[in-house]
Amino acid sequence: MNGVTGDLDGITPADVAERWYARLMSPECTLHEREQFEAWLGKSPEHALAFEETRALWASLEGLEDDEQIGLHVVAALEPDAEPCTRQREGADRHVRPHRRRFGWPVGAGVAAMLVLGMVLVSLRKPAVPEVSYAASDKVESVRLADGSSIRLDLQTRIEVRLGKKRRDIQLQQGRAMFEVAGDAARPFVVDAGVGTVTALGTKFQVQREGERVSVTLLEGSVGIDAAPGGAGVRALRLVPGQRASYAPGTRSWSVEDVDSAALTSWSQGFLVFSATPLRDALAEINRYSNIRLTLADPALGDLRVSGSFKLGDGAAVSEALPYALPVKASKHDGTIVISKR
Amino acid sequence: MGKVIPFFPQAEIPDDVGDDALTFETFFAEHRRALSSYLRRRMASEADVQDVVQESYARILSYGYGCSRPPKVWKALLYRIAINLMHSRGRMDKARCRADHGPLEDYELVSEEPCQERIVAAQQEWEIVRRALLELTPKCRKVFLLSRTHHKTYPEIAQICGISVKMVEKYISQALACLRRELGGRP
Repeated sequence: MNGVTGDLDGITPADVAERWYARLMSPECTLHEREQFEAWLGKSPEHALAFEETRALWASLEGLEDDEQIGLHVVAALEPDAEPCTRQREGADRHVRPHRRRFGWPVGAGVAAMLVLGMVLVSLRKPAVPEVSYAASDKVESVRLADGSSIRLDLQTRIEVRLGKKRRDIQLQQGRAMFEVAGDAARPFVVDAGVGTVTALGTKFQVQREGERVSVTLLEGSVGIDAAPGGAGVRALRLVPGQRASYAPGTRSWSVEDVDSAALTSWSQGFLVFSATPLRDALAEINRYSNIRLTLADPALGDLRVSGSFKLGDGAAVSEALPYALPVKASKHDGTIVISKR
Repeated sequence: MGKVIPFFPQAEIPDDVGDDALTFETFFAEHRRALSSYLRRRMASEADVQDVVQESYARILSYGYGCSRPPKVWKALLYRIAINLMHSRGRMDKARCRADHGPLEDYELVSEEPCQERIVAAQQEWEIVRRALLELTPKCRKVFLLSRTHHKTYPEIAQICGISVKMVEKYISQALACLRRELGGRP
């Protein structure tokens, strides 16, 4: 338990919002605390307002490094603290001289030209944040990003990642990916799945995309989904853990349902979890990952229901386990395993 | 040059709300036009304006709009959300207020030039920010700048400053509180 929500006398919503803002950026912030934060946020509009104000304050402090006085402190901040900041501070204070006002000059054509030139120079000097592609083809891959977030890529999945100063942008082009996001309140983690974007601060969720069929499953924390412009229905959704939002291309709308989110994302842990799943569907899933193919001798067997968790990629082990759960037997023929009636 | 984003625009927001509770429909009807024209003065395209309006209302709903609080509070929240959305989209009116917005890489690099009429207010605000930052204790300022301008993580900051991660968090919220008090002149 942290001190954030302590409701002492004289503590205003602004104070609490600022503590939460600082807390949410900490790697020590637990899932339980994030839930407490959500609860606090939803409790009253004053709380929401205070938090939005804090967010705005943080955002408004862009470009401190360009200020003549603060800029010196910004540079000095990087020095380790063996030598305290006081030396730099004196240096900065001596710098108090009639400074040119930031936007004090008349805005004329010449200045405008300089601005344009300045911006061109800035763009030349600082290359755009590079975009990095990751893909998994025939096995599940793990990606660790520079911000500390990790991503599991399911088979046939492709993403593009750009870690900007203000946003962490991920484009899910195809497939299924599980995101475990490192908290950074100043840099939202935004997954673009074409028909909508998913925004998270620090949280765990899965996004699946096959063309326009997109679903988002939340395991921990909280995410917001913003529908792409042009769709029908609500424009913004918020999920709580255990919910899945699915986009229906037919109606071009999003809907939310409660699901077994652990089962739906079990692939990322190296398991497949089935719960009264038709054997036909279960085998299709198992075969996606398996080194050996499992087939049914009789299509009617596909209606049998199977429950349990199976290790990914090990078709042989699955075939050995099935006879214990179902009235079937498994036999090997020409590099495939045939499941037949017992 | 840095972006100067006016932080407390409340003074410009029409003050027309009573204390009577309103249904969401009434609330929506009451503020939609004023909010739209408020945004229109600051954003280039009507489509963007309507986008922000829609999204702002969606968020108000997701925050659980209800009549248990005076509409004043909801209205303040509505405008704050809309302003935040507007800024985060970086789509302030090109002609009046800022340089062009392009794809993300441009958006990250190109600075927003505020329009003349708000320059003075923004300048004053910047002076306050500067003063507030200079008044922080050296350690607090250092922690804050490492986080805000250098985008360092708490553990990295803790190492540079020789303090605990928990203290980093404390300094961040302390700095935010100081800035807010100075800027808003609020408790």
